[in-house]
Amino acid sequence: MAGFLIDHPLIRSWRLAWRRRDLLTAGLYLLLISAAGVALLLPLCPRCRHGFVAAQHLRVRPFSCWAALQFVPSMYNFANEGWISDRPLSTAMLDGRQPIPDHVVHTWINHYPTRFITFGAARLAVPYEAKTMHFYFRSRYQGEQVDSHYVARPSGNAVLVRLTEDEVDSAGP
Amino acid sequence: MPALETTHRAMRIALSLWLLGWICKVGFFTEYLFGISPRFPLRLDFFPGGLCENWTSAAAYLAPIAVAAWAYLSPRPAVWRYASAVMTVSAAVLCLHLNTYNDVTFVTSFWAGLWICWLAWQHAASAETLAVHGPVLAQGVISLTFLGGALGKLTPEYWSGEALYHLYILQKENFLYPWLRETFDPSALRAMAAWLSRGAIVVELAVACGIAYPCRRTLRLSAWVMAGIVLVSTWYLFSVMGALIGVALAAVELSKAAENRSSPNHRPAVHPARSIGLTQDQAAN
Repeated sequence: MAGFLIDHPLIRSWRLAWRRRDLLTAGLYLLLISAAGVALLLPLCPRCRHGFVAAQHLRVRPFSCWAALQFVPSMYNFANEGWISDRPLSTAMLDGRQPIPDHVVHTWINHYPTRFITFGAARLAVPYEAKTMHFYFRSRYQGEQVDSHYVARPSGNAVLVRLTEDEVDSAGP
Repeated sequence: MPALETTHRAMRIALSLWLLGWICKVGFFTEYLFGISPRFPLRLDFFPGGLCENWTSAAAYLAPIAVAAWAYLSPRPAVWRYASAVMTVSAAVLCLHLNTYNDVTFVTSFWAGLWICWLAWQHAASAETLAVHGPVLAQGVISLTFLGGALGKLTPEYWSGEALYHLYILQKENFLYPWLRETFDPSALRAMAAWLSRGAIVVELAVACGIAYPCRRTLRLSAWVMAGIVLVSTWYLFSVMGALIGVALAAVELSKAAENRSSPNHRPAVHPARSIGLTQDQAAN
């Protein structure tokens, strides 16, 4: 394994650039290798998995850690679902143990489910409602599950979005 | 031996496709960043001050359009350096901004921007140096993007096709999805989603593995795969793939130029490919 890694074209080229004191090239190799290393932690390190999934719910602190993860590509990552309601929902409803009321919108989201509040046309739904809206997000990845509950409510001329305290994390679905 | 002509050609390829990808959704982004966002402001404590301001995202979206077009028209390396730095920083800001975070357009534009920065700062390097590192770095950028996509799908919901069934077959209103829903029963659609999903994972992993063999053929193949993904999905996906296709084709140009310079009168002591352990034939492929 170590031999394979040392002989990898990326590592070989990095060493070549480093030997020639081409710091810009060596730096870019190092950045790529680091980003790939971080990406590989997702399937290989169960202890890190929670952080990756929580980042998609804007729940990694400090902001700099979350910011670093934004440069690790993650398109169509994890199984993400969202429920949008003007009333709070119970965990039993989200788990399917109780029926979900008809007014609840349920959707699957490709990645970063909180973008369902903040991004593009979906954002229009929040202020147009002019009332408190509840957003429940659930992301699953290899047994790791993160649930979050965001509340959006009008505040002055803006809409205030905040994570509520009653979010529930569990080790498995 | 400097290779300014080669760098210029490669730079124009990379810049034009980066720019095309960036403006591919210009209608959507101008309406969103200049219309919807200022009219319906959101406040979310998670983001620090500057990354919530609407003018930040609007400026970060517009600035690179002007400078990339300027750099495309200019033969001056100083302009390339300035433009590529602005492009990369703008993409980075948009990756972190409340209005635009995790839009994959800006993630791929950021990494492609770093590659273009590298090329702009290496304009004085020899053709051989560019041919050694350009293709490996370009394939590194492409492989990293696909690696990140593939690893996040290694979960039962993607392998069984459940996620893709909902995301594409049930929820998409464009292209052929409404027709699929009308034509096939749910069990057939689920089976279709499972195979599509597995196919996507395998293709993404294959492109990610391209870094094990970073030659001209791999770069061309990666560019074809990305073009194919755009064709079977939606034109908007070009905003994600455009910058990466540009980097792949620009790297092919660097590699070809080095070979052309290896004439009897201009033969480097060591062929560029040899220095990273590939044979000359492998690199030519």
